[in-house]
Amino acid sequence: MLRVEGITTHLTTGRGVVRAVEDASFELEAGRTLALVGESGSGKTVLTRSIMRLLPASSVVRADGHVVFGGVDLMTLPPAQLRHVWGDRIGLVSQNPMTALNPVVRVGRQLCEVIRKDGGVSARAARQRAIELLTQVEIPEPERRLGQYPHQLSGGLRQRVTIAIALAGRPDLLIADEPTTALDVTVQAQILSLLGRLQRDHGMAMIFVSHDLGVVAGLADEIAVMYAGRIVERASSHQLFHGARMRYSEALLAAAPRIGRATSRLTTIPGRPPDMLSPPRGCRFHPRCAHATERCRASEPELVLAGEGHRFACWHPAGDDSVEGHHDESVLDEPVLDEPVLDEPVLDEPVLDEAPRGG
Amino acid sequence: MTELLPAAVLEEPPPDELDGGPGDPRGAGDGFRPGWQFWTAAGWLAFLVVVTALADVLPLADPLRPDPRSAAAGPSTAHWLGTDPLGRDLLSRIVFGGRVSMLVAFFSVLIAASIGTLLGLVAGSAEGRIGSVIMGVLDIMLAFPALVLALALTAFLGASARDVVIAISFVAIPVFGRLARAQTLTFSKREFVVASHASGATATRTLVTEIVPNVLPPILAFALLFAAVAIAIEGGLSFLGLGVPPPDPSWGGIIAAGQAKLDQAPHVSLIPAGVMFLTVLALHTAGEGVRSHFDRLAGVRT
Amino acid sequence: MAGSGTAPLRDADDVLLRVEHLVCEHPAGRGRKVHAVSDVSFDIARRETLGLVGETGCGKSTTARAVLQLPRPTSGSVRYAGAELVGMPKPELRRIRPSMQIILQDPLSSLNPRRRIRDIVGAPLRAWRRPESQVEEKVEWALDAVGLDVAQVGDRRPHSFSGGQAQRICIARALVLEPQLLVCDEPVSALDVSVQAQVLNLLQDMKEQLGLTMLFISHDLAVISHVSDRVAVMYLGKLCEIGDAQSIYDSPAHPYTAALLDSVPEPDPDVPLHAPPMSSVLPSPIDPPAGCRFSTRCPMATEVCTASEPPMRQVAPGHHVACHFPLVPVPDPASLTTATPP
Repeated sequence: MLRVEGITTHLTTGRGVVRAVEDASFELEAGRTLALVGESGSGKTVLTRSIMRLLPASSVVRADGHVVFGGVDLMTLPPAQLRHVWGDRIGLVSQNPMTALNPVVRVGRQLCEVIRKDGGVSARAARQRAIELLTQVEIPEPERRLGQYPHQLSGGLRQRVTIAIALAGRPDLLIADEPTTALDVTVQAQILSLLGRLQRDHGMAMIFVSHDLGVVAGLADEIAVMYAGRIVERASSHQLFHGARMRYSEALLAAAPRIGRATSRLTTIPGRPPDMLSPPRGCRFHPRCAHATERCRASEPELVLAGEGHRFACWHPAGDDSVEGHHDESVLDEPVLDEPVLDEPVLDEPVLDEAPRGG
Repeated sequence: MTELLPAAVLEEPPPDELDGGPGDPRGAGDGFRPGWQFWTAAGWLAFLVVVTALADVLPLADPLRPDPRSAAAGPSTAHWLGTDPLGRDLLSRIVFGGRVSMLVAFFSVLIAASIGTLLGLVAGSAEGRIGSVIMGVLDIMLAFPALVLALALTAFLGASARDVVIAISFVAIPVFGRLARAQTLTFSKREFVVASHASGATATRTLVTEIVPNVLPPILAFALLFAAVAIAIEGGLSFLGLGVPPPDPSWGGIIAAGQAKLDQAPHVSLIPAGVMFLTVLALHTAGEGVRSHFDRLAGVRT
Repeated sequence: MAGSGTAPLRDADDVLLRVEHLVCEHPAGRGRKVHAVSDVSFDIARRETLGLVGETGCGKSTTARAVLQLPRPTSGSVRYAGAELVGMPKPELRRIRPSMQIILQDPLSSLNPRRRIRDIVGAPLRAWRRPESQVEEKVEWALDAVGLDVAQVGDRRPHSFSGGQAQRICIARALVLEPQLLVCDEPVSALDVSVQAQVLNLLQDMKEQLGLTMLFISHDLAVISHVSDRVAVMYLGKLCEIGDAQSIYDSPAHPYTAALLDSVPEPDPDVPLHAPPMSSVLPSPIDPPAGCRFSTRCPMATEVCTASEPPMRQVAPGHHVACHFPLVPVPDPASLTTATPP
């Protein structure tokens, strides 16, 4: 239902051009959830904005690729038609409900505005539908909430209202951009549960953006791991959690603190997410990777297939090296990092062509 | 959804990814790197300061000596910028007048900034009612219109440059005071101030080492901007006859004198007006440059 | 007000910090008060890490700051190394401060943007008028301990550092006075996952090397489980449960603790999503519910719960809970040992 091909987005900031997203592609079918996982600078938010063509025009230096949604390439649509798509076919839930909701307008009015946007719905019918939507998102006492302002609701309730607004147009695709990051853990559990249920009930496709692998584990059918603007691994939820191949995915899974893992020292990923003004050459993860070799520094790995629907981009992936069959290259396979990879951070000079300097 | 969604989404601050990632050392450097506008402005101001300081030594005509043969004459070899209606050399009067304007601006800003900032710092950091008392006093001072105050002072003490300084300082102190207090309050809540207290530093020490370095740059930038205002106010007061009394030259006075002959000898008013305009503009530009330099030092992305 | 009780407090000699009946309230306009912390008691033994966990509005940050008297609590007792901090005259309190330091949540906001790193890290020493040579030496030591090279970072300003590095600088600044107690208020919440692990490992290393005692505050149960020896759970200004970390995670006695643990998403695709059955209407600290404050959301609440506040009772050695119907039954008092293991 949604096919994203080769999205490349370069943005200009005050300090130069940021290659925020490079050649991102994926597919999504109705009723399925894709999780976009990554840390800061990974490009996940820019990717969702690129898909929806919601980037501030003045910043865009390059926006290539195709977004084929229901048979139509969104990148070629004129703005008027695009607005229709936004309203009716794609719903967006963003991280901070306070910025998505107008603080000086009552909840009911905001909801009804959206319901009546295309005309043909009476005020009474809109109100009915609004109550229906609020009930669907499990807001207690929906009639009373209609008359309240956003600040009178707790964070969890506000986010539910945002979801209700997103659902108003009965979208085919729901994009949730870190919807629970700003919420308490008990509220988060409820919202995740709600999203799962709504998706099943409405048969929507969902793109769920998060930095937290734990959060997406229960919801996602497929996961795309992003690093420094590229999708470095794409797999089903199962394949990723039980057999991640790309070294960053593996490291990310290992680094997250977890209840019940009784180790006192956490596995770390040394260094920090790269400077997107000039990301590292070759494989963008190589300065922080314990398995990097000269090859990783020299050239960027392509996405290769490993099992049904499992793609990753790594020269020295985890697990058996059946993909990397031939070691007949003249390039040595010993790690060529200057010093052992410790827990010390790499100082923040942007890693260009030089070896990482220890601190 | 169309009205609600795109605007709402677009108004969100750009995600970290759009900023080129965290901790980028480039672009927010430590060096002083203002643009050509700043240097041009600084150059003009430096030129002005030097010329007015050396006015006595420079080969200028006597600004007070009228030359009845060439009243309101245009530029000539004898008088480079021409003469005013009383035949006095315009260039010389502009230079000496400039000295008055610069001195008035300098001292007003110095007095107002020092006293105002001090009061603001105390008001913003002291506990108890001191803060409200100080702000109350400042509010009363703020209510005085400069012009009325100047009128009163001239009536009482006689018009002079000193009275202009007093008048401008008086109305400017509360302005600096409010600015300093607001900045102090803002920074007092920041975590690095909490950290300073936590390390056992006395309140005074925290104020001086943590808060003042953050309050001073905006004050400094504002001081330059206010200097421009001070020059304009002095010009206005002198124009109205409330400032420097004739025959001593001042920019406002020269402009006033040339008013009558505006159609025949526009240069008499226009040249000093132009000089004043350039000076005000230069001060604004310099003030902006100072502000953006300090902001960049602190990593504030503009 | 009927408190949750001081039953969990230990009598041991090696208790460094002892907080009793801590109350923090501040005005909320129109005569109302925010009951941020309502009668909380706990202690921390030397070289122990107590993890204080709870969601937004539970009062954990307020508790942390109140312990350090930043600002002073409304009432209660905070005994640090035997000395009573509440009511201590300011100059005396100031002299104790170097021994108790704090790391805050937003590292970039915790560093003065207009000062250089070497000045920031050296400031605490200068505040105590240490000789310059000693200042330089200690700054270098502290920065080195956190993995930064003073020659490379010393003259730079905070904005050019990433969150993880900035937090390391904050840690260096806190350590430069060689404190005994380190309070960490959500120190890794603002950091990327890959960087969180670095900072947490660093804190553990520093704790071992310098023999620190820590009060670690977080909303993240997983983070807490990694750093804490003991855990205290707060809800709406009250302490629900306190005990050894293992005991709490293995067998939570308070329904809220159980709900919290239940809510943490398991990074395992085979585990289905579930949300513990709790009302999503959150009470406000301005007008907290009567009796047990969790009663409005607790799936097991009865009239007893709204009628009276539950006292702290021991359910296992070193494990106390404040609940009328704890998930772990309260054993017969006669069979309990009075001494809790360190």
